[in-house]
Amino acid sequence: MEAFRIFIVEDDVFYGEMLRHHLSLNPDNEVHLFKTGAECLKQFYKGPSLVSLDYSLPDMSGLDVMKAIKKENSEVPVVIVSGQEDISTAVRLLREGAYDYFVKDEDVKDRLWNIIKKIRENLQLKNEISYLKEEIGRKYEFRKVIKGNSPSIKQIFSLIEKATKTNISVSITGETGTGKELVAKAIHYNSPRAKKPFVAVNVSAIPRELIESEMFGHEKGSFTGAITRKIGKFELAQGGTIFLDEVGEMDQNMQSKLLRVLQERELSRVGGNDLIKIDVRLIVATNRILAEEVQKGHFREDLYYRLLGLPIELPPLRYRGNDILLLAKHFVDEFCVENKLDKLSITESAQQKLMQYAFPGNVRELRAVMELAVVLTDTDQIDESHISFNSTDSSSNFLLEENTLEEYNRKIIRYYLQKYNNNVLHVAKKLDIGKSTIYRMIKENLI
Amino acid sequence: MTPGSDKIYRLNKLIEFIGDDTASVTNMVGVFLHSTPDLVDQIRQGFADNDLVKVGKAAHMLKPTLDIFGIDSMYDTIRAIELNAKNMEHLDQLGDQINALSNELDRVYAQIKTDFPTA
Repeated sequence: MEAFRIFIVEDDVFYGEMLRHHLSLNPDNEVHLFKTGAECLKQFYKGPSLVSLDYSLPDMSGLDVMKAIKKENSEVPVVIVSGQEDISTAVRLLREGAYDYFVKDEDVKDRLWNIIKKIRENLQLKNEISYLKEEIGRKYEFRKVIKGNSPSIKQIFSLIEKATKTNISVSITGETGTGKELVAKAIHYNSPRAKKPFVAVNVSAIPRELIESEMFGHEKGSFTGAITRKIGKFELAQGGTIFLDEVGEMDQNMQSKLLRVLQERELSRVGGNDLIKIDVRLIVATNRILAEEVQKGHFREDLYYRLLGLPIELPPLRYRGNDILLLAKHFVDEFCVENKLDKLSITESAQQKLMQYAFPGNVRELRAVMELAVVLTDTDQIDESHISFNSTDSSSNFLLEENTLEEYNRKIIRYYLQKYNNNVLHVAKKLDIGKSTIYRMIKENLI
Repeated sequence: MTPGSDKIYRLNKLIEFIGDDTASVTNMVGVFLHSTPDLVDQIRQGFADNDLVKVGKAAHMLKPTLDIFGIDSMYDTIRAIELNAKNMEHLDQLGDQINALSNELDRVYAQIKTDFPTA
C-alpha cells in the first residue's frame, strides 16, 4: 500500500514533535513536520494525503495556508488544530473547506487517528472505484462483447469506432434482443467519457407522470410525495453518457422538455428555479422506426433530427449468417465456464437447426436457447434434440424471414413433402394445387 | 519510568500520546527541555517590553505543552497569563503570574534532568 503522507504545520516545537511521534506509530504513515505555512506550501508538490494545520502560525494565518492548499488541490483534507475553542472561527474554517477543527487537548490524538482512518478508507474506496471503472472499460472493449464476422456486424464495429471518437449523439435501432444497450455501453466505455457514469433509462418503463422527475430530478415538496430532493438521471450522468432506451415511447409533452434541455444544455429540477448546466453525451435506442413515427405525427421532427446524430442500425440475427453459429459457440463456452462444466461441442444437425431458425428474439433468444441446450445435454455434445425454440409466436417467426412469395411457396411445399413422405398427390390435395406444379418444381430443383 | 506522586509533572498523557517507548519519551522530554525555556523567555521579554501580544502568543503556545506534561500546578496560571495579556486585564497581577510560572518550570526542569539524565 502506498504511504499515507501527512503534513503537520505547527510552530509549537513540542506539540509538533509529539504529533509526529504519535502519527508515526503507524508505519504506513509518512509524517512531515513544518514550522511555517510557507515551508509547507513549498513542499506541497510531494502530495500530502492529509494536512494538520495549526491555526496561528508565525508567517501566515491558518486560513490563508488552507486557501493556498485548496487552490493547489481542493481534494486534500485539511484539519485545523487550534490552541483554544472558538466556535465562530471553527464555523468559518469549516465553511471555507476545512475537513475538521479541533482544540489541542488530549483528545487530539484520537480525533486525528479517527480522521486518518476515515480518510484512508475513503481513499481505498476511491481507488477501488477507479480500478473497477477501468475493469468495466476493459470488459466493454467492443470487439470482446460484440461477436461476429459477418459484413453487417463489421460495419457496426466501424460505426462504433467512429462514435467513440466524438461526442456526437448516437441513435441505435434494431429489433428486440439485437444488443442495443450493449452497443451503447461499448461506445461509452471506449470513449473519453469512460470514467464518468453511464446511466441507462428505459423510457417505456417509467409511468408518464413520473418521467420528468426521473429524468430531471425534483426539489423537496415540488409535488405530493416529493418528500426529499431527487437528482435526475441527466444530472447523475454528468460528464458521462445517458442512454435513453425506447425513446420512441416518450409522450409529446416530455419530448418538448427533452428538446429544450438538449438545446440549452441546462435543466431545472421539477419545482426548482436553479438552472443546472449539463454535459452529457446522448445515446438513444428504439425498436420503432422513428422516421415513421415523425410522419405519423407521434414524434417531434425537431427532436428527431437532434437525436438522430450517428444512426446505427443493428441487423437482426437471422441476417448475420454464420454469426449465429459463432455466437452459439460463444454462449455455450461462456455458460460452461461460468458453471464450471466441461467443454461441449455442437453437432452438425444442431448447427443446421440453428441456421434454419429465424430468431425473432435475436441474440438474446439465441443465448437462452444455447444455455438451455447446455443444461439439457447429458453428453459432451449438443445435438438438435437439445435445441428447442420457444418463440411466443411461430407464425410471426416464419413471417420475420421476409422472403418473397415464391420462396414462401417453395418452403411450404417442401415442408409438406417432408411431412407426408414425399407423397406428391397427397400434398397437392392438401394445398389445393395441381400435382404438375409440384412435379415441375422438383424437376427444376426448386424444392 | 513514570515519576512518583511527589513529582510536579506527570508523563501519563505524553505516554498515552506517543506510546510507552523509552527512547521516544526521552526524545520528547529533550524537546520539552529545549523548546519551553524559549517560550518562557518570550513571555518575560514581552512583559518587560510591554508587548502583551507577544506574551499572549507565547502563553498560548506553552499552554498545551504544560497540559501534556501534566504540570497541573500551572493549569490556571498559564491560562490567566494568556487571557490577561490578550484582554489587557489584571495587568498588575501579570508579573507575579509570570514569575510563578518561571519558578515552577525551573523546578520541573530540575526534576526532569534528574529523572532523564540523558535527555
